[in-house]
Amino acid sequence: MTMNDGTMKDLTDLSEILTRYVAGDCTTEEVLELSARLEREPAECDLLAEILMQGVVIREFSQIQPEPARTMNRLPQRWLDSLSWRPLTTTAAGILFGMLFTSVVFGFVMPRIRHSSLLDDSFEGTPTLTSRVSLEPNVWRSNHAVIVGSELGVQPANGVKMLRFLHAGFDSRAKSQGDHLADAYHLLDLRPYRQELVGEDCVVQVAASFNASLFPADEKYGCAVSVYALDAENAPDGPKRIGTALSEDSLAMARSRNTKLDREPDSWQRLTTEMRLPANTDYLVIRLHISQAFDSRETPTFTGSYADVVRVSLTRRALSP
Amino acid sequence: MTEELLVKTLLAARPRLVAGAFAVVRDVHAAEDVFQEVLLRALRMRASFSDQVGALAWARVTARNLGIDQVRRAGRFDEILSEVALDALDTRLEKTIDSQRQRVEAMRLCLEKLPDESRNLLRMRYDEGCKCTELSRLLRRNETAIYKALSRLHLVLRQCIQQRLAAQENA
Repeated sequence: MTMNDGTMKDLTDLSEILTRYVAGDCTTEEVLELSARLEREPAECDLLAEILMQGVVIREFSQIQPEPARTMNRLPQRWLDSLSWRPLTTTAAGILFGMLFTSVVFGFVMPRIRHSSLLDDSFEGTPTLTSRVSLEPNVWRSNHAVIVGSELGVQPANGVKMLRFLHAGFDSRAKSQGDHLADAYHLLDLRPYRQELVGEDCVVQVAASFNASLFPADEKYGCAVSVYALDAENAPDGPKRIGTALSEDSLAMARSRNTKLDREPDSWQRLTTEMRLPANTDYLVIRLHISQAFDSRETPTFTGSYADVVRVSLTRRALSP
Repeated sequence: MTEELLVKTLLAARPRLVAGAFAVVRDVHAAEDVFQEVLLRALRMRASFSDQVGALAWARVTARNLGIDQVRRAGRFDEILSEVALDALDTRLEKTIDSQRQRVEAMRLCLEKLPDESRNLLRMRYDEGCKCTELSRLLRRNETAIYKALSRLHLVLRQCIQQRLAAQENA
């Protein structure tokens, strides 16, 4: 692109005013002036179209990311330091990490003592989903899902509605297995359950059902349910991206996954996971996700992948001796 | 029109439809909400669409109207572009739809080439939804500098995308 200095300055000025318009930061007078300019010179709309598309695509790319890694950055540094030279401590910490960060806690617990239901959702009363960046308690948040009734040979597991995953991303790259995800999040405020959380024996149990309409035999889809524990300081209620909050700031997480959804629309596949809750947990984030589990030439559209009957409960269990 | 075809049609046009709503609501996350609402409404009235062109035309108009409703409810109607300007923008957005996939791929490659600091600024602005006042506070730069940096980055990306698309055409 060759331009003289004047043209470049005009373009820079236009870009700046458009950037401010897109940010919602123009005054009424500036908007009037901009409207008149775009009406007079429709070609200048090219730059506005470009800025808008860039914003949308940047947002979309940022959402397409690998599942957050299990994190331990909230643990005191001295703990991490000590692991490098004390094998026995490493083993003990490994067990503790296992209890905190994975769903394999069954071997360490005694039968339940008390039980509180936090969520029992079949999407019957959910009028819509939000795609806002921040999570609000008790609202499902997803860019990639809608609430639907029976369709494509799939009946809801309970009631007359279910969550349907739609797609993940739209770029044209060939994708390796697992690169495409569609997900939905739900925030639960645990602060009213403070009394339940006192002590070291509080376990959260999460279960969700998944299903798919009949898809081609050479395609493969996985599903998973994850639970993340967060303290109030790091709850994703501000403009902070959910993925960042979960991957970097969660106190603990657990996940259960099924690497292959069956091709039978009549049967729902139930996943459950459990996690011992850190005592300072203020919020839980439940994440449901569907992933493409095959190499694809183009972006898959998850037109027939569903979730239903999500249950979350707190259970108090004694630690085994 | 089958439900599957309708969903695929609207999802394929998602960037363009979200961008159209974004021009009205000026918040990319709110624009995504608008798109989601459009999708839900389209599924409910699927029977009335005879083809993809009709469905897309309906989706464009509905997305704009939903956006305008949202802005009006927030008492910010006088802060959006005139109908004529929005029509002109729609025409421009429509022109990009045929080359959308190539543009998106070019944009991805151009974004990858940006320095981390620049990419992070764009991510904070558009993915995390930080307003420029917030960015100014977080990055300890004045608001004018933030606007200038963002607008420069948009121009850099634009030039990079144009060059990549031109190279593809020549190839």
